[in-house]
Amino acid sequence: MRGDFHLKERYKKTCNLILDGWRFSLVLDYKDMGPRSLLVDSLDDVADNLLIDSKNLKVPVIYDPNIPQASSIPRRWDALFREWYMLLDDELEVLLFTLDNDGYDALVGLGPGSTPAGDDFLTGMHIALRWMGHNFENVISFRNLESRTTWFSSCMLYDAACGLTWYRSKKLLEALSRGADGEVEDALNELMSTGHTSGRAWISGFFHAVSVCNSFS
Amino acid sequence: MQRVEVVRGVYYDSVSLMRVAQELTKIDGVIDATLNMATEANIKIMSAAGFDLSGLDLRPSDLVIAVKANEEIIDGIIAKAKEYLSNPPWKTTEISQQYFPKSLNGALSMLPEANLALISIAGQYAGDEAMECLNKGLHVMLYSDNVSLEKEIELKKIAKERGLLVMGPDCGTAVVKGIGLGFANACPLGPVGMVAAAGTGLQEVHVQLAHRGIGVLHAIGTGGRDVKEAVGGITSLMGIEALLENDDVKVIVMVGKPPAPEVEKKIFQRLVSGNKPAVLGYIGGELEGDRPPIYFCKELEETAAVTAAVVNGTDPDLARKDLNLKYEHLKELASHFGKRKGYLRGLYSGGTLCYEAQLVASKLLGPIYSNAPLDERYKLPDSLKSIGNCMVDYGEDEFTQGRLHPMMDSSFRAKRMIEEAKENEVGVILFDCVLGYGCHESPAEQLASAISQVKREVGDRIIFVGYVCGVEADPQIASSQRKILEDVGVVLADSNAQAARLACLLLQ
Repeated sequence: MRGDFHLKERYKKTCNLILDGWRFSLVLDYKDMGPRSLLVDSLDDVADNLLIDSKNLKVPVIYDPNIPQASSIPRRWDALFREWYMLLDDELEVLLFTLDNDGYDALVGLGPGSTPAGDDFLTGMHIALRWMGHNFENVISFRNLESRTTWFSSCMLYDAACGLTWYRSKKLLEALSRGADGEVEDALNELMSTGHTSGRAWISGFFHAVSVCNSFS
Repeated sequence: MQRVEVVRGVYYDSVSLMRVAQELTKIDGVIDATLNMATEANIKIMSAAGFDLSGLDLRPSDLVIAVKANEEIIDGIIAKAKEYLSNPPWKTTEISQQYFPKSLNGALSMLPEANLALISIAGQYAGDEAMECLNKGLHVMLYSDNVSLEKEIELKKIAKERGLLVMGPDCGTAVVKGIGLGFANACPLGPVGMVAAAGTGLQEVHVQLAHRGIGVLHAIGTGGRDVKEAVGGITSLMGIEALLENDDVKVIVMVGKPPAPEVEKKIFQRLVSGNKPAVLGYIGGELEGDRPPIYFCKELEETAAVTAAVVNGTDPDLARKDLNLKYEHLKELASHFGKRKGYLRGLYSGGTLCYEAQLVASKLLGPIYSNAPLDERYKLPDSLKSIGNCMVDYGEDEFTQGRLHPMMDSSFRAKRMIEEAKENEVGVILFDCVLGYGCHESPAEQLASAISQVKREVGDRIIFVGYVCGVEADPQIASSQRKILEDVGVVLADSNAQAARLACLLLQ
């Protein structure tokens, strides 16, 4: 990490910083760890115009954001993956409609908020494809992504495409691989607690990709 | 001022509509608000509540938003209703916290050890879902009603072949290893096993046993039609069989309306050969004379009292005598409160409680009119208009289609209290207040507000007699609910049977 970080967004438990267009985060809760995140005790001293000199910053790596490769996925979850479209109800129905009519690329930036639900869906999808070791180059176009969705969201999609993910989603990948009772439920519940619809859209995209891949295998 | 808005071709579940209506009525200046699908039954109910829907071209798929409020805010209230419908303020926390599988297979992949499915969907689809559950080797609790008799028989026959239980349809409550399913009270675990039609009859005996320090291990709901000749008591007999085989169950209790003679005979014969103490609480039944270890009861509290005696090894007859002494004492209590002139009006949320109250009252006052009468000759032509001594069961289908069950929302019943009080010939209003999981968070508050209004308007002309069916460990806390009602002058009894007796004794 070289250069100075600028404070971009401040939330109750997270501060998002920007460096060379990339998002970096300071987080209070380990469950909010993701790519380029630093766990801190307090965000009180992070002033609005604070510049952080990163040149000599050395911190231990406590979270590995790399998406693991699924050796095998227990078949018991097949029925769960097939529920993907049922998660797109109420305010997420527009995703299903758009997907049916215009394809994946039209989902980019679709929905309100800093992480539009369409991007959550696509992020989940890319992580599933990475996890299963599939090629996804043609799913969406990454060209001019920054101009088609929010800053935070475009970083999230790039990260997924690069094989990086967040703690909560990684926990789901691990739970699905292990196949242990209760772990998948816990992981899904934690994801559902992410934002108003973000978690649901993410899970839907993830399940969608796995069920599509399963149907071809 | 009234404003009615019709939104065409939309559907919202009843819980959402009720929540929106409740939120609207909390706003200053709003007198009343209701949201309903425009079914014939709902139009009738809304008209009875004073909304003028005449001249509107309504179809069942229309949503009617009706508001009574001060003129200056009424437009804003309609807009607020639409805003709540499209973006409910309570939705975020409810939905975003937990992942609920969307299909049976999805649920089974997350809970592979599950062996029981609880089905609560529209009756027309419930039977097929129940069949799918049986095909997957699951016991079924069929909470849904409006499942055809033919389907019930088909399901139960197949279940029996596979050694599975079908509890229901219309099974509102059950207890498995002390854990309540559906509407259920937080009562202790113990040596009693119950088989019951599965409504408030089961809850009342469960609660009355808890008051006597006796716990229940299992309570198997059967649905009200199980003991009819056509079904043949399939689930009742399987339930009894399971309880006979369970060494932790020391006493078996059966609760419900009297079975068909053939079914009654089979149940009795199996219990005799099973040689385990049993108490048969056939509400309004004709069987008399105990045949130890089998005992016959005709009321819910009596069933609990006799069961407690059997569990404790004391004399069941003595338990009955103690109960009768309590009932005698109610005469003194009635004199203490002073007798009233006029009719008795009972407003019930529990079907079996209403049925039992009618049995008690008909012996003391003569015929009782009802929407669910003991004798069809006394069926109310219009359930919204009382006649003479009358008891209305608000849990009947006519009141629950498109709105919450009265155990989840007493507001409609509370409005009826106010309407009843306007009639000069009404002297006593009798009601139940059922607590437990699944019930409203504070039903007493909903009712107390109406009772206070009546007291302000008619003073002591009318006396309210109530019964709180619940225990301290229930989420609503029984003593807190009782206090709310006592604070507005309600005379509370210790059981449904006592409340009905006291209400009758309070009439001259």
